[in-house]
Amino acid sequence: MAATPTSAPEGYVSLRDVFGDAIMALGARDPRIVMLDADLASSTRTMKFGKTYPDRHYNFGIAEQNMVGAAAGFAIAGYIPFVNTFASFLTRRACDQIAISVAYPQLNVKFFGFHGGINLGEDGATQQAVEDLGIMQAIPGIRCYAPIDGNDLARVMNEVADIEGPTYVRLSRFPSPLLTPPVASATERAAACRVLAEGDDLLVLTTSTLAAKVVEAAAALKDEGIGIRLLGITRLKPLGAEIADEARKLAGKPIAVVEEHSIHGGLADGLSALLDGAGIAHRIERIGVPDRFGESGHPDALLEAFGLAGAPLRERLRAAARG
Amino acid sequence: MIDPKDIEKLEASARRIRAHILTEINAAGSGHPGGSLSCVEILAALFAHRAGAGAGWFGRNARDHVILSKGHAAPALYATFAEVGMIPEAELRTLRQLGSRLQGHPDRTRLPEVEMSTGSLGQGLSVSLGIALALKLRSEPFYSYAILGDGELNSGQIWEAIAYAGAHKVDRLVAVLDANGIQNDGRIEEVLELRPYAPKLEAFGWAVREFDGQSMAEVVDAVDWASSEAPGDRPRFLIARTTKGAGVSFMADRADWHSHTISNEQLKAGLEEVMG
Repeated sequence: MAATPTSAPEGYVSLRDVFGDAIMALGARDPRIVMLDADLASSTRTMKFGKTYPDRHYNFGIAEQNMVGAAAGFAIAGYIPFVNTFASFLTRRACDQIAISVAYPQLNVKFFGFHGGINLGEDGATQQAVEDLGIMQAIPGIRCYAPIDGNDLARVMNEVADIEGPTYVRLSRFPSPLLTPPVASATERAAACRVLAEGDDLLVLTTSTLAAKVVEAAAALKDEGIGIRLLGITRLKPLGAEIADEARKLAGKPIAVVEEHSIHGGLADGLSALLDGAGIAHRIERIGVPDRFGESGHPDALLEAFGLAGAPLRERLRAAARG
Repeated sequence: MIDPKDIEKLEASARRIRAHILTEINAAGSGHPGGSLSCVEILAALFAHRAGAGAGWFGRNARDHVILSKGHAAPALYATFAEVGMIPEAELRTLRQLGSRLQGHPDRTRLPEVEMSTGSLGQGLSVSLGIALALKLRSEPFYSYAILGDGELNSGQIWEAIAYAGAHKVDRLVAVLDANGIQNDGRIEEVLELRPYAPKLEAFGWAVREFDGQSMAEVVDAVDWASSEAPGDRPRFLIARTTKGAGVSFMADRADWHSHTISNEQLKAGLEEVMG
């Protein structure tokens, strides 16, 4: 067994544990919520929901296309299906079903893609998702979220349960540090953009739990005299208009996007489109996964090897700050 | 048993639905006549007989659910809607035109009477399965019907749904196969032969019945059987042996009429045949 974390360090919270708790609360509140799984219920933390509400938990086996289609049927019949499996299998295998059986007819289906990005680690490329947000954002009408920590996910859960229409939430596998305050109420929604570090030499946007690595890098660079204004982005689609205001504030300063996703179709593309639409001239340093699949390795080692954490990330941010 | 007079009424409905289909596709300048004509008796039996559909029917919560998984037969679905009074007959002439509610393949966001948007083949049975599970969860006395084409059975997703429904005894689910024997590129046996269907479906735990899908009496009898306790706790699969282009001699059983325009002369000849 590789040395992947088995218990969370102090102050670290697992998104899927937050998810498991959130569906219990939402399920108690709203009897229309049903859980759909594809033979990964132990990973998606839906087992407790299934034990408490056995008639509202369905395991479709390794048959993601059928699961997504059945979710559409539940939605037509007035239920709110939560569709849970790995981000890779959901978005790659059931892409046409998500598009044509859910998004095109605008059905109220909630998709949860577990183990998004490469931080799943040792299992390698087949189980990792470096294009899930690109796929989901390209399909018309799906709101897309990549929470940056457990508290952020709790707000996202409130939001997606409250919104009519298809949503996609990307979760990460391993516990990650809490960067945002605890959820204030059962109706609090996710912020469009959250300032994670202050500075005025470089504007950096990041998303998903990778944000913690970027916070570390920003703190280290601050000691070197490089000030980073770091924004954590939870909702990738639609991207909040206030992000354009942030870019205006630092007009003329370099912009970098750090994401655990392909440099195509993710936050960098979304930001570029937002700034184009707002008439803001820009050049974005894309710090993400280049045109390649992931691979096996310890999560931390992988993130560094891909230039998304540690010294390699600091070096790329220094270069970006030099413009 | 159903009154023979009711069968005659449904047969008259089927003739008008066929006439609508020919008129619609002629006006649109494109469409799928062959697979629309083969499923007319199925649609008439489900909407006019079983569901008792009419104006206002679709807005009810408590009702049967019908998904046309073979979405390219959209002209037949719209023609049936017009026949039972769910949409105005005059609207049929807007088929496939810019801004029309009658899209080339059914779109529930434009035409709310459409249970489900379909057209990417192989997806409808899973959606009907989800509805059937919801009906079971609420213990409702209704059924969820999916009308499938035989070409659709090529698709893996269909067999995922067949496996799940059989294993979990989803007895509110009724699949109706329009087995016209022809898909886009040719005859079933030239593309992907999956017959005989019945033993495969029975092995997956379905209750299966096979019959003449162009005989209104046989279709109605099969739909009534499927919509009863008789098949037990198994999902129901109705194999309707049909003819592509049924009712119009020059279209019948010909692959090239899968997707085809209908000229004014062909319309005239076709209408004479179907209205007799």
